[in-house]
Amino acid sequence: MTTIRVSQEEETRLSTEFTPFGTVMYLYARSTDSVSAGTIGQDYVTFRYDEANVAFAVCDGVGQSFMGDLAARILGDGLIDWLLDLRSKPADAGAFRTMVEGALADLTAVGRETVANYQLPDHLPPILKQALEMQRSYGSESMFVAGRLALRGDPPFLALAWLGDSPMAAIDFNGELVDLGPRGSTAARWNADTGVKGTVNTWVGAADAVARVAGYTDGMTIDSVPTDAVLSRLTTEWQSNPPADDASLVDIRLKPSPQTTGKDDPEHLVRIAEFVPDETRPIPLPGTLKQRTPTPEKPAPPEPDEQPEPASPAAPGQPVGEWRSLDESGEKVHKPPATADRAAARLEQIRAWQSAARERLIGARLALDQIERLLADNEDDQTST
Amino acid sequence: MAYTVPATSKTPALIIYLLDVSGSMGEEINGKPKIEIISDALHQVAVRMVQRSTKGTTVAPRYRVAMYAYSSQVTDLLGGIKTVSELAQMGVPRLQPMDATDTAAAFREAKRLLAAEIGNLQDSPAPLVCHMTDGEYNTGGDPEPIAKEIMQMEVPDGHVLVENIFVTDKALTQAISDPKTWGGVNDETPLASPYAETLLRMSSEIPPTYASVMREMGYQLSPGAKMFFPGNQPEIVELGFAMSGATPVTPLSP
Repeated sequence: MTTIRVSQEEETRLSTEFTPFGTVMYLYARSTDSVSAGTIGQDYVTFRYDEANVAFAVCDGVGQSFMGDLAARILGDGLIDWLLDLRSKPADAGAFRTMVEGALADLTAVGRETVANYQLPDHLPPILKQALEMQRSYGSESMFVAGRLALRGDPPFLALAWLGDSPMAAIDFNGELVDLGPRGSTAARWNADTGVKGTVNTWVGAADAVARVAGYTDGMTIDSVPTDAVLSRLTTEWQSNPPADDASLVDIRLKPSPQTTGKDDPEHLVRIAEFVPDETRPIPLPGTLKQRTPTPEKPAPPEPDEQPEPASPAAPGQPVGEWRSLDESGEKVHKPPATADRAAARLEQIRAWQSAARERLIGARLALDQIERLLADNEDDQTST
Repeated sequence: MAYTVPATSKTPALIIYLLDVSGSMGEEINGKPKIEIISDALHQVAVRMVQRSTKGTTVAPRYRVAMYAYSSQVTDLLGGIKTVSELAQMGVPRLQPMDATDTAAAFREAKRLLAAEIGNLQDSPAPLVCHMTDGEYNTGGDPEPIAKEIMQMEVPDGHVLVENIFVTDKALTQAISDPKTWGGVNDETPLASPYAETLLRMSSEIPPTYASVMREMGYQLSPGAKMFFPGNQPEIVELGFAMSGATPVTPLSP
């Protein structure tokens, strides 16, 4: 099995992993605040796959909880381990919900211990440390979207789960949005100490019910299923202007196959591939998430007349006796690790984009944009050396 | 005018503190000088603001803070407006009592700062002026007209909010038994001193969004309650300062 754990320490521009069953696109962009401060992002993205199986998790660590990035990692890693242990298709969404809730409860054991033992960096200002210690008692929290695809299951199946307001979308081979049920509530999340808050949403179906599954965090700031054009635009924009909130995505696009279409007829497969032009995969579906089953939202937790002289700054003999808790050291800056084989990695990415486009899993335009960007990066590296 | 704009890095909330450091602040309440109670409460509100701004160890600059101490003159404690990220690095000053009480001068300073800033706050939450005192002005004149002018300044999110923390046991006719369950002061609440009535008139009504945040902190302020917190219990001072940092940080319905 191949496992991808996307770094929280730096940006991962739109990338694709070309697999036997299709292609998995993913991206990770830290918020403006995190980029400015040189700190890690609160989202976490991971997936693991082999020839016929994939499990993925996109986790949105909750700001104002204790180190939301921590809960996001525990949750993401724990969920894909658990999802890949599923031996057969869950009976239905309700049964799967019970199973997911059990898994999430089990994860609190490691979550509780990890949060309790987490050492805050020494260099943090005392006020920030005090604030974080108050949050530690509250716990570390994360929302998530996650899923498991089993193409050799008997029957082949797709099982999806989400908690919180991170969007999840699935599209079938006819380009229609699959009704997954309600979008999660903003107040719902997993607490590393106390477990699930709110309702876990689930969906279980046959593998041939979907051609594409996308899960992403609200930092993507998109109201509908992301199109190739949107992904390309965001990737370009975020190079110079990072998003307001952490943004991350996993977008799985499946090759037509007997398992994914339910048809053994190769002619049929060819017909679908020929019939569907590039720009309809992905299908632009403005406002599509609004078509989901509606659900009630849970309650979430002039000019001055006088121009006095500006006040004088504090000086000796003034009302300031002393200052508390001064700490002049800055926060640690995480720099992207130097990569000796960066060029080789880019070549691999170029091949993956080419393969995905050749299989018509993505639009040619998106593939070309990404390949051009990778080639430009290589040229920049060569120029700088 | 719903006070619903959340404090974010791109639309930070501006909070201006006006802190009375006159000589009487050296007097003790339950064996502790008032000025120390104020310093402690100020520290707590800074911690709370930082807490509400964190993403991991990142402190998002959701708040911008100015802090003025006043006695016979006004002193800029922070050297201009600082973001909550900068405040986390600087810490909070421990105050010490000085001499007279020129409340009007402090409000004039707040008004000057607001006039300079308000044009840049059109997408931000309505600014808040948090005034803390333990007694009536004895120089500089009546601050009420200036406070009223400040309360008329506005941004699309609402008029500028003015809050008063009155550290005294002579403002209410009935003592507050439990600050956590206290419903607050409204226009009908009988007050025991003319200056308390003045400060009440200088206090904005608590917006529902602020009340909602305060509920999350465990306080039960009633609808229609004013941003006026009279009392000499440290818990009331803490409640008052907690209110000053209660700008919503996530989208909320009023």
